Amino acid sequence: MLRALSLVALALVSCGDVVNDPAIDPVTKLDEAVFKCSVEPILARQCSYNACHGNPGSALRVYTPGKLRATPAATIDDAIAPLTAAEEHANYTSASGFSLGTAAEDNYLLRKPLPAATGGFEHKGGAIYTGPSDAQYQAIGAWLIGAGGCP
Amino acid sequence: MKVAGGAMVALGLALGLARTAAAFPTGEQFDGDALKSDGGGGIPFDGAPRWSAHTCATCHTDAPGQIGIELQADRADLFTTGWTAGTAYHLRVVLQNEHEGLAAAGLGDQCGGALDPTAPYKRCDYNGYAIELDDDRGKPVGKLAPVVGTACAGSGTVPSDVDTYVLKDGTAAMHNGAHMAQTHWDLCWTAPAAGVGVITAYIATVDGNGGDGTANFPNDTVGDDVAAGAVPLAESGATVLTPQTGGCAAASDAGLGLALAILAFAALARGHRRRLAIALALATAGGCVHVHPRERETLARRNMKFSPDTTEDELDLHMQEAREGSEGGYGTAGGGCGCN
Repeated sequence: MLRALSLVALALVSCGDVVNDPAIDPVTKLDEAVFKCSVEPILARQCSYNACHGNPGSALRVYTPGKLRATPAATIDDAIAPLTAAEEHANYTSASGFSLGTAAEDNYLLRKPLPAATGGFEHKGGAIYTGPSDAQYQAIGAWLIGAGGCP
Repeated sequence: MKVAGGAMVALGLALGLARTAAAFPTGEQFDGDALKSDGGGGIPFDGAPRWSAHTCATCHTDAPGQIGIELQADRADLFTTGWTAGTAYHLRVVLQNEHEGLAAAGLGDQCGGALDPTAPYKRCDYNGYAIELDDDRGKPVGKLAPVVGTACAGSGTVPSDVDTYVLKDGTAAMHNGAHMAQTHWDLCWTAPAAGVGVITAYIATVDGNGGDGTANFPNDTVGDDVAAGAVPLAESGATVLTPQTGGCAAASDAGLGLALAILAFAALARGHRRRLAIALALATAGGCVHVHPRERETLARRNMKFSPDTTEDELDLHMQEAREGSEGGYGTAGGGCGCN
């Protein structure tokens, strides 16, 4: 009996609260203005198409005129209207989410669309960048490390 | 629009492939800004390697894949002896087996609401294409131009109703969008200087259904059909690439394999063991497929592995080890299939 109680007491003593290491919300450290001027145009041109990231089911979701819109368009004029501020911000938060706890060079926005020979993998849309020296890779990489700017 | 010269020579492509809020009914939209307007940013979506092989199916999803493409030329030698440096070829891209928007095809340009805004809207038969011709490094070569009358457009002003729009950078051509119900488009391609070698024409087409049939959405990417493919063009006078022989032949030998298998069955039925053994050996040999080195490259890609994400594999393994209190027995080092 005493042995059983000792074991229970020992087991209880071993319990403790698990405290998660709080991650910094990437939205608080990535510049939204730089995103709009140097990253969003790349995502719109290269990624926003319906079978790709213009699909609402995609983890990286990109709103653009004529393609995916936050509110279903009733007419083609609505569909091709300029992005709303909410859509622009949604593009920013969607892209920022990929930097949660990840080093810039391992960020999926940079890694996946690389050619396989330079570390790219599993990108259904193939290699988008020609390599790490690609201007698009450089622009997104600069934004991720806070080094980007707008003209 | 008629193409000058002799009979057009066709090279059939048995191709079949691939929806959005708005399609690209005009060629100019391919040059338009993708963020500020409904544009493609200079991407022609013709399946060329420089665009990661993206085709019309990048937007026109869930296509039934019933249409095909045919590339024609005014000179038969383009597809036989090959292209000749500096020669201007009249090419025609033909959309085969059109089945979407057919109800509006007979209207031609007499559709929509532009002709008479007071009349009820009439659905239009929007179709389109895109093409570029690249060298073996994926670089566009030669010069593209619309056909004006029976000649290639020069440097002057091009009429607005020509079939073809050439991207601002000159690297690809697509439908101009001036006319409805088109199932073929004419363009000029002037071959580059000698020495380029094999050139590949990357082509994609869309069989549009005219949106939802109302002025609200005269065109979209829903319910359209698409196709894409590539046509290699040898250089005239250069070494002609002969079909690969030796080893095991592919595709066409499937029938041979079946025939030999039937012979084997017949030998078995008659109790002729020696004939049976020979027939089975031949049938097995006939079933071989020669895997080219370039095909092994495809097999070696990460996404061809059952578990292509090594990081996720490590995480899964870590959880399994923690859960079961065991470790090991998870794969071995090695190259695997497809390594050279």
